[in-house]
Amino acid sequence: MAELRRRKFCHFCENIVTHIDYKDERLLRRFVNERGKIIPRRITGNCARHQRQTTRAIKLARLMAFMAFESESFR
Amino acid sequence: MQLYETTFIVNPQTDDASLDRQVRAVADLITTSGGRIVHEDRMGTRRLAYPIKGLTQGYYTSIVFEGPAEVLPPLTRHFKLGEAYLRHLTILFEGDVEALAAGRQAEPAADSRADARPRRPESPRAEIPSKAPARVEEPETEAEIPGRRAVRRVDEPASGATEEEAEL
Repeated sequence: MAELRRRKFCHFCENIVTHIDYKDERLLRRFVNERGKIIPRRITGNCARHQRQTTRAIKLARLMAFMAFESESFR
Repeated sequence: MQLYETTFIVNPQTDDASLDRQVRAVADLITTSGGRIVHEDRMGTRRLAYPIKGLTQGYYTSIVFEGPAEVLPPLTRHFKLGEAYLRHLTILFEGDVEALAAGRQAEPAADSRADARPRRPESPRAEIPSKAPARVEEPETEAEIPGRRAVRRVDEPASGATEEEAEL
């Protein structure tokens, strides 16, 4: 957490990602907490554009059961 | 003509032959209604994040195809009528077609990078596009003003230590 607070980078800007795939559950899991809630960009450090894309990808992933909707025990 | 991506989950509790038939039925429907299949990715049987129709596993397939919008209504109807399809989703494909053609080579690399959790990349500054500079400069100013760091360390002794370690 301390690391995050000190220096925030948009993960997708760093790696020059233009499109976030909703099927990439392993990637999206980083942007969701244990309950499956989407982590705000104030915490993750995502830029606005990529946070929008991430959010959309997570929501699609939930629809297709790649990820859980909010749950008590996520994974 | 648009590029679409349709992903669907088939009930895996059948034999392989009928599973294959369900998937091929979709592909055939796309081609017969004027579409052209660009890429088909059978992700195979995966655990569902939550049970659907009492099932905990599903057979995932993703098909990227090119075609007119007229392909979509029959496709949707097919999914809705077929009881073996647990879920289906058709969206405009916004990814990189060339990466698809190159196969899975690009994807696992991205995966492993995600797992490595590169929160402190080794050489981030050169790669960061114009968006981030305001944030990137932060640590630099911190370094220039040693007083700020000292205060921080007093406030958060534990985290300060981990930061130091991480830098090493």
